[in-house]
Amino acid sequence: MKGDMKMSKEAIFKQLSHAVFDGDDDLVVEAAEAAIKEGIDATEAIIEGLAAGMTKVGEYYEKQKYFLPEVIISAETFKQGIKILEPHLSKDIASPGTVLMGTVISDVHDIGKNIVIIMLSASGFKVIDLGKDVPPEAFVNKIKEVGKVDIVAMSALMTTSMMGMQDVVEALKKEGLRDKVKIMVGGAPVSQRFTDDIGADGYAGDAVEGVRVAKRLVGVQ
Amino acid sequence: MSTEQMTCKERVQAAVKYEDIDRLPVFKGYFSPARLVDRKMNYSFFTDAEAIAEACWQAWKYFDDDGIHLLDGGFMEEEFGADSIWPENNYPMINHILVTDHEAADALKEPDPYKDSVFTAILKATEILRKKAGDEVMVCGFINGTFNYAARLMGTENMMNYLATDPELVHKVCRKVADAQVRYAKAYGEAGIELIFMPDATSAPACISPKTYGKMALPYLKEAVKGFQDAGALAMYHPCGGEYPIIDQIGQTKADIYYFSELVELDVAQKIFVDRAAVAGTVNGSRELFLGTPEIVDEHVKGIIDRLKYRTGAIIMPGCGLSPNCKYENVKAMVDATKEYGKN
Ligand code: B12
Ligand SMILES: [Zn+2]
Repeated sequence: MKGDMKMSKEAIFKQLSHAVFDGDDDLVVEAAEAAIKEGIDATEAIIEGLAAGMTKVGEYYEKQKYFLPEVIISAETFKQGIKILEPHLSKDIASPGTVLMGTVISDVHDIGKNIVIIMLSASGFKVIDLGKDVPPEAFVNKIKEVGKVDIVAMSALMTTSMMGMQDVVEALKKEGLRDKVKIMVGGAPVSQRFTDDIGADGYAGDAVEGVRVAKRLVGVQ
Repeated sequence: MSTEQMTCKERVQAAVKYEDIDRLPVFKGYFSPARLVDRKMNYSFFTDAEAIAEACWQAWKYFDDDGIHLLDGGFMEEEFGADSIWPENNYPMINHILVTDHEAADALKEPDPYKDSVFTAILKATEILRKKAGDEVMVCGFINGTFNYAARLMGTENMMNYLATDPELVHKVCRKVADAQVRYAKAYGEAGIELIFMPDATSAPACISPKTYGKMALPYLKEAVKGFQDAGALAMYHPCGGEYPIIDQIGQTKADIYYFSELVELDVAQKIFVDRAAVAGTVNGSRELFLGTPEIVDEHVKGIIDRLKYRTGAIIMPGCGLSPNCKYENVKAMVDATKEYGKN
């Protein structure tokens, strides 16, 4: 940014969104710092700026205009922007809900899961990431630990590991937690039929769709 | 015709050239047959040539399909210098990412097919199987795609990043991988392999753009395919994952067989490649083979065959590698359905 020229809110949002979309890590830092300097609400900067850019990235990925290299670089840019804005968030913003997410046991594929997490966060969800190769008890224990989880989301990329999702559903039932959460599943071998078979509540084929399903599951638009 | 008139080998060879065949060939596909000989997929199995040969032989007898298929093609990553993890019942994995910069790429070792702990067993198994199989059935080998190996050496997520920020690093690793693939193929050829299967999911549109594919992956895949063919084997290339956007480019690899996932219609692919290359695959490994029943599989395979315009030039098989715990009765149903509906 040149000199002391004041930037409008809209211009800063545009820059943030652009930076994420282009994977421009210099621009994202510059724009995020400008947002703080101008006293712009951090929540607004994340939603109207960073998240708007990430949503566009998601749409481009869905349409096969973007591929993994672009998505991964944009995701990193998004995280860089968040890092700067996060300390300035006001504490009482309304989030659509809390998602507990992990790749199921014996599966280490986490690229897709990480993209889903970025998109959910970009839409305001609070996401707790359990990582990959997550045993059923880890889902259960985490719910007990944090108290309130709205959605348990699981990813599996192999036909070998997808049955692990059913084990999580069973574990939640056994602990009397099944009715307290919604369950959302995804990953390449997963289908709507499989979702119904294991008694989960929602399925999405990609991250953009995943956000829509998550919102539907918690009853927001 | 009630009795079959061609050997498995004749059938596959003729189908690849779009010649007349008694029925469409079928491959059981790629999954570990260790279970068939009551073995776990562990270090002791993967390095035991007799056991591998026996398991592959039993699998051919059991499923009664048109090829003997060796499992994973060695452990090139370890030969490149990676340290490994051997799970109690799964394929080996590497413990640490090997290449994070140019220095590490320069320092990669040169894989030697005759020192690779797994591949030496596979070569010996190939020889055993060739003797047993005679002229009846082809022994089919496996060498992973250039990008698949590169991704394992660099970490997939990192590699995707380098493709955008440091493509030269990716080139450097792919150069070494392609050379190694050719060396492995040569060793396979000397052991008598007749077909080499090369899956490359990491260069497919599920991961990278068609433009990046053409620039970064295609040149190496071409070299690998040529290496397979120079070694005397048919090359079966599997661009795994959302293949349509690169279907115009994959033909440049000049592979003998293009093996597609369930995301491609086999009849459409066949019309594109008619008289140039055979097409294979497309039986849905998750929805039908894993979650379905023999009746569902039968119906699904019948549909795929009924839609084909030419009753040659196609091999029916699962759209992708199957998990070791796949339902054998469903795989068998796929083979039986091909024999029934694929008759000429
Ligand atoms: C990258 C990759 C790897 C990397 C993973 C790196 C990482 N950090 O994730 C490495 C090299 C480590 C790897 C290892 C293995 N892999 Co792998 N791998 C792949 C590959 C090429 C791409 C997967 C990927 O990241 N895709 C891109 C992302 C963005 O897509 P995605 O995950 O589908 O996610 C999207 C949607 O599905 C959805 N989604 C995903 N999860 C969720 C969850 C929810 C809740 C929602 C709503 C949506 C959602 O949203 C995402 C974004 O839109 C696939 C092939 C392919 N074509 O898919 C094979 C593949 C998945 N791997 C496979 C296999 C077999 C293995 C190995 C056993 C080794 C081997 N022999 O190849 C090991 C397994 C290790 C283990 N125990 O898990 C097989 C699985 C076959 C099967 N029978 O199921 C595949 C299909 C390739 C193949 N044919 O061999 N692999
Ligand atoms: Zn595949």
